[in-house]
Amino acid sequence: MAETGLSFGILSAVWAFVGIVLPIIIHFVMAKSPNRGIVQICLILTAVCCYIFWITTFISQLNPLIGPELPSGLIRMIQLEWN
Amino acid sequence: MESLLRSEEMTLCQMFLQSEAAYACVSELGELGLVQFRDLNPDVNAFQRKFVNEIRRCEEMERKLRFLEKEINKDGIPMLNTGDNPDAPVPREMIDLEALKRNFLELTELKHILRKTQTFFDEAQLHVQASHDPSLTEERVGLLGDEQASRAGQHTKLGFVAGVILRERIPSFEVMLWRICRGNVFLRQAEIDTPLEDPVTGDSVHKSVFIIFFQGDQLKSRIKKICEGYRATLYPCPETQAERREMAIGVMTRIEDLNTVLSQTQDHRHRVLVAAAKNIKVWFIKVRKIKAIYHTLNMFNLDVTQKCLIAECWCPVTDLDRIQQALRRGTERSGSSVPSIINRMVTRMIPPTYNRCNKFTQGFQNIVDAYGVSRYREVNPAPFTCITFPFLFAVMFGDMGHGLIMFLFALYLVVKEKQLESKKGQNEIFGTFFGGRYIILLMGAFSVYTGFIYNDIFSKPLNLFGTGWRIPESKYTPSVLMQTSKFKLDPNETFLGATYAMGVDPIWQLSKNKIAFTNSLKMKMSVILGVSQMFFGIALSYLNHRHFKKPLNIIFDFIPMIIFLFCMFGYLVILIFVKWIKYPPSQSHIAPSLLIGLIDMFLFNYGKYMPESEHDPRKADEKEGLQDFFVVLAVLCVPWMMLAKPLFTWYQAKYGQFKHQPLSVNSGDLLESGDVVHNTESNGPLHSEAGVQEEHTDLSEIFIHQIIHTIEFCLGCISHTASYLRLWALSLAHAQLSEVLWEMVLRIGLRSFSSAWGSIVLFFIFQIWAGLTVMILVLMEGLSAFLHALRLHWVEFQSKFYEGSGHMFIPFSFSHIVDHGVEELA
Repeated sequence: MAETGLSFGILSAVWAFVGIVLPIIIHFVMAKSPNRGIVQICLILTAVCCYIFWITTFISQLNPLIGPELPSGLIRMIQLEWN
Repeated sequence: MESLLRSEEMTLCQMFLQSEAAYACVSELGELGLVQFRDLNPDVNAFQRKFVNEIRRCEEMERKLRFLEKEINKDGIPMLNTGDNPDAPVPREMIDLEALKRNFLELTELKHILRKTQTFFDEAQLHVQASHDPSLTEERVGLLGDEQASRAGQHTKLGFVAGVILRERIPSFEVMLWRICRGNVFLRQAEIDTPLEDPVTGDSVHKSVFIIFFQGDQLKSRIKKICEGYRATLYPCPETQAERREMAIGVMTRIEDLNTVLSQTQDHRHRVLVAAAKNIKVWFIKVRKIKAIYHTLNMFNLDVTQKCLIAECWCPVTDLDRIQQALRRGTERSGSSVPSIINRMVTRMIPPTYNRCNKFTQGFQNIVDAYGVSRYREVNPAPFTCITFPFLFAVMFGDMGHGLIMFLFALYLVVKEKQLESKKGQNEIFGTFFGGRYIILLMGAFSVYTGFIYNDIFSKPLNLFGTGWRIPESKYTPSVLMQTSKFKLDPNETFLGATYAMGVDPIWQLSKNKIAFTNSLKMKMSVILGVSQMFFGIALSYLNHRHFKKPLNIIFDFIPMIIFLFCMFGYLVILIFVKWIKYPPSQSHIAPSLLIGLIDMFLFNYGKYMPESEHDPRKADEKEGLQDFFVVLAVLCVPWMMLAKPLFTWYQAKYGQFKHQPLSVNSGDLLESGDVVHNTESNGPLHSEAGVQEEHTDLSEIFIHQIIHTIEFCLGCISHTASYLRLWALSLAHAQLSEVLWEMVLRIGLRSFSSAWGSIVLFFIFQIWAGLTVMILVLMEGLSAFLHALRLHWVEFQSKFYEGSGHMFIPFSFSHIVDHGVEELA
């Protein structure tokens, strides 16, 4: 559970940085460039899209309602290798 | 950000140019590429315009240049393409160019004449040689040299004609001769061994020598006619052998002389061509520029005093200074004393739409414009498309390996931009890929990201963070495992709660029921992304309403649209998230079905249908109340959208209480107060043309428009949300194709052959696998996902706010003309 919270926190922070903090920085760094607006729009949209995509996948796996169906040999391998 | 969010503010300007300065000024404006001239003489025939002669001369010169180019290509001399951009030359230079062209043409014609003469001589010589043929000679001597017999007989006076004909024509020639002369002629032929060169086409053809004996003049004329018909060339042939030998020697000498002359002419021609090849591209550009300038000058009006030309053009307001400077430069260059004048005009015409793009946004602007150019000053979807289009593509394409291939390819195109720029005109397909290099770059980058989240690299998953599923040894002992071939894991017992940090858990790729899980995930993802994009589209329509100053639309269009979409599908999205969060694996058997729940919501059907899940009575009540409220609200939005605005307008018109708000499209912007008039003379609005729209206060029009809009929106909501499910469908197809390729192709090579043999087999199988991957999965699937993402943008996203009824701003620009050639006279 702690790991879940940790991954949620880290990734939310990353996309928040890309989508909120970076555009603000760009606002001052690129104050004179004509491309400033496009860069800001692109950063915000990227952050929004990628974050929605990640969090949908994440939340859908929080409480799985069905389980995978595996052949027995594979189950044995998973027990040995991954667990 | 105003630069790309909306199209630029344009103004109609009038220019007064001195006749001497006009050429130079237009040249400067062409280099600048910021104005679009209007044709002030639309009814004048193309051949009656003022500068028709100059254009004719330019076309003549272009024809000569094309001929030169063809000759240069025929000789295989490489043409230098320095990428220079020379200025349009003064008319004087044109005359020099023409003189050079004439010189060259004469040389080439001389060469052709010489060649043709040479062929004749060759034929003549061979003809003479052939007639040295002993058998022939004997007969001749026998027939003609025997003068005694002929003098005695006096009736066997034979004439003959000799000539050369194409070898293929000989059989039909013989037959024709036989028929027409009724068998009274005698034909003898011999083939020429060496092929001769046809002067016109340059091919080598085989010819034969023939000699025909006949008696009488009538036959002679007939034979001559037949020879003409078969295009055989006749030659005089002396009768005695001595004379023939003399003639042969004479012909040889002349042939040698001709050869010398010919080779010298060839050399000279080659040198001229090489010199021309260096400059020919530059000449082409210059001629095109001159022609473009004269086409433009044809569009101007001549002033009453015949001293200056009047032009009308559209140009962006922010660039008026640069245009002023260009005009000043042009006037200086031409040495005219009177300055050119430009001043803004007020008009009710709809200005063209100009979106100022850089090389990155140009590709996206093109794909938006392909559907429809935006109305003047409405919100431009292109800056948002920069990211949402590659992202939706990536949702459908989602594979790290294929995405990486695409990304690297586009990276190569981008890094080598400058070198490849010149090649883009040669091959149309390459030009298309090159023009979209930034789009492909972003598509590849996002595909790598979505592939990472889908956990799919060439259909294999990555296990970077440790799987969240733990299979306990206690329950699944080896003996238990030996009994059955497969097991379905119960998440209650095997899922430990540490969700895989980024992406889909790798265990799903190994399982047999992977599709059941990914279907659920991808379908819900599609609905979430679709509803978000549609909300975004409606929000952009709010920006449009605010800019065009139509508060009515905000109340009567924007708010009901938002409420309708939210009540129906926004609520569905919330339900999706709630179901994911609220029901832990222990309650998996009672988690409600979303689809059935949604249908029940609209049918007001609660508690009557109970699948294996049981609704908690408390929750059912809460949800029931809320859902009833949403449904009722959504249904209320329909008449709100349909009727409120027409009724309100009718009320206003009838009672006239409030200031009449204009409902037409283009009145708001254009009558904004103009800025400084740029020069001393000021003209009022000169032109108000038929392009102006009248304001419609007709109630029935508004009513019908609103009904159509309402029906389109409401039905569109449902159908567009379903349409977004293609995000799921294509990504499923892609994943399955990728898996099939791996299982059926590459795995054959990875199976356990003996190591030496296996490596060779793997080598070939890898080539097949890689080829199929690139052709089918990257190219074909990529194209398919590209088209679907495009359709999602054009129809589902843009129908919420975009009107797209404008026309493009096409500036008079030399760079555009040099690339694409001058369009013909309108």
